[in-house]
Amino acid sequence: MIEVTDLTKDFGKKRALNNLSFKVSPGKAFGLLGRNGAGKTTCIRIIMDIFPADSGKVTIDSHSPRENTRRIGYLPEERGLYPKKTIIEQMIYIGELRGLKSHEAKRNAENLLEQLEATEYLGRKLDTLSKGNQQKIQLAIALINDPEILILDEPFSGLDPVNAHILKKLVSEKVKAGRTVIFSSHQMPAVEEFCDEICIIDNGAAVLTGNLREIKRSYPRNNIYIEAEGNKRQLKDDITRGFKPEEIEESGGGFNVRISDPEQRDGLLRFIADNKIKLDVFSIIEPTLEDIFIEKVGQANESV
Amino acid sequence: MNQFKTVFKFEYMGYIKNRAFQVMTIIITAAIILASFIPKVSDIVSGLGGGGAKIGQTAGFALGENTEGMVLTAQMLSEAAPDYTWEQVDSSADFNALIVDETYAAVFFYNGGDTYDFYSTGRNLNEYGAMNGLSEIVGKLHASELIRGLGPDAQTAIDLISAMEVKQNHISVSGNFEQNYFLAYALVFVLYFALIFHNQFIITSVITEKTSKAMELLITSAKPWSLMFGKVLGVGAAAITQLIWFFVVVVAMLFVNLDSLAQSVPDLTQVATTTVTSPFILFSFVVFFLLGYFIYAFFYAALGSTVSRMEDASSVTIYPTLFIMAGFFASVFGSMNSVDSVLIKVLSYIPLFSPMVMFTRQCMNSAAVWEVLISMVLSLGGVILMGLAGAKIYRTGVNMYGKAATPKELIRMLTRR
Repeated sequence: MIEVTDLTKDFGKKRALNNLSFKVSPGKAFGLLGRNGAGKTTCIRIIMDIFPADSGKVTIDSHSPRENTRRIGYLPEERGLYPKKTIIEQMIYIGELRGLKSHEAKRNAENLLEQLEATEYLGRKLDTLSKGNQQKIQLAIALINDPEILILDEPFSGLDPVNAHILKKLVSEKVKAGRTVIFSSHQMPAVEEFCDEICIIDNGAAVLTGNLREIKRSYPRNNIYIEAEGNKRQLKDDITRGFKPEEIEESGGGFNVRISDPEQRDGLLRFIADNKIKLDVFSIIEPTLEDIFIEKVGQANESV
Repeated sequence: MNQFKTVFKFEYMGYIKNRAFQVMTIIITAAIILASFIPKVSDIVSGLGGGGAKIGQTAGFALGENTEGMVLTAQMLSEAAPDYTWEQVDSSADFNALIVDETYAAVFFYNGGDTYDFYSTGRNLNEYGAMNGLSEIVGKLHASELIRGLGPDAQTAIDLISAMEVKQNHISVSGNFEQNYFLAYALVFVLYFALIFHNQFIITSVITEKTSKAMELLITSAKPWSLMFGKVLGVGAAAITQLIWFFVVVVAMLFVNLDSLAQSVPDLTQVATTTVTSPFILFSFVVFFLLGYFIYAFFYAALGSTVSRMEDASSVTIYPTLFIMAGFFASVFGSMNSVDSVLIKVLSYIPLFSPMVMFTRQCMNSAAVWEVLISMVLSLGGVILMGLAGAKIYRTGVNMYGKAATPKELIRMLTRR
């Protein structure tokens, strides 16, 4: 269990973290979400013991992070290695620093690069690779000693779809294999794909924390998708004038109707029946993580 | 400890494979080998010239009208200026032309009084040495001329002056000054360049790890003290490897060319032979080299960690470089004037200066063995303190990005708990 309790960190006059707390259950994938500058990387750097918090603490299975370095595989946000050294040299070096024997590190490096479809880069120098391929190497290095915990800071940023797919596949395997994974990202679909738990932070403080499925279930289902026979424009005008939803917009063959309260669903159905609209589809849409994120971060900023 | 070993091995091999290190090793090796063969090659070249006087080393002398009665022989001139073989020249000759057409390397013309003309190419340092000897001869001839004017008894005085020969017997209780000074100068010079060169690599290496963003991965994979000590000791071991290699080359070249070197540059050969066969000087050189290297390596590594751009490196390297330069100048110039001065004595016990200054005192026989040993112990203490302070700065410094740390910030890093 990773426990982050009341972390506060100031950089000069700027408060980067403000009493931030959350827990990451073992064997789960955890998404740390926030806008740029929200405090995600600062929080991760404190977890990694790169610098200390001004107050609050981090424990990993009740021990300080310093005692757990080798259990954590880390992909920093600012990626970099030795530009003039070969990939295999660097992977063996980091592997040895993380407690592997040279031959074990070499074997793991070869296996990982095979999974990442990057075997041909083993003997090449880092600065001869593209940015995307360098990122794959970085992920392979984070996984070199098959750590129990993986902390990935913006792992998919700057990747093309093919490489992003390859990386997602590998991370997905780690999640299935029971590794604890912390993601920091603002790419909501990717987080939604992997994460069991999330923490949305804004201005250094948590604005929403918990199990993603429960959050989504508890979240008001205010979006309804409808498809009906007849003139679409006329239908849109009728609903807009007669029912007065918060928002209505065309989507696919029908409309997304946004209501202010889930209780209004019955009212919408009654309106459709009263106006003799021939309904083909009436579907309640589960909120996406992006919807939740925009709403939460938006609310937090309004209150600020 | 395993992390330290891993970093040590990585840095050692990295430095040995570094192109600048390899180029420097090859150039210095080639320079040592070439320098040792120069006397031999020079002998062969002069041998091709016909076996007589060396080309360019035959000089002429001529006497003018006002020197009647004066005795000036080729032998006297050879004794005064032994770098030349002297031949008498017709005093009406055009001396400039004789030099230009390379008939003579130099021509000495005396026409009485206290003035003489010395014609030369102006390209050879021997000319200046020769002029000292010639001035002495002219002084004697002029004095004789003056005394001759005094009357009949003057001849006795002239004979006495002519026969007068001052012999110098320089007996130094602490050995030959020139040889001692040369030994100290040469080794301090090696130390100075080794400190600057190897420590430059350390600071470049630390900054590269920061600019390439590898540092964040490194400090989450290993303890900062393992990273710093592994780097400093790894690079130090490579520097020692290089030094051993140079020593082997010097010994081998001395062995191969000892005869020709001893003939051509007897003082230098004497110094080199003394050094390679003197266990205490060798021991001190190695110890002071290591102490000097490590104290500055920790200094450079700690400061390097506070810089995140290569162009800012000079803003922090200036501090240790000034100390190295001060030690160097104190050794070379301070010791030349007065190796026993209070300043030199004090500096020889201060760890940042002692590796160069005490070593110089030792070479010049100004320090007793116990003084050298105390200085070594104090330097070792300095290395340990600098290592601890360096580790403290390094731990915080590696996370610093932006402007280089100011001295105030460095002190804050040191005092932070």
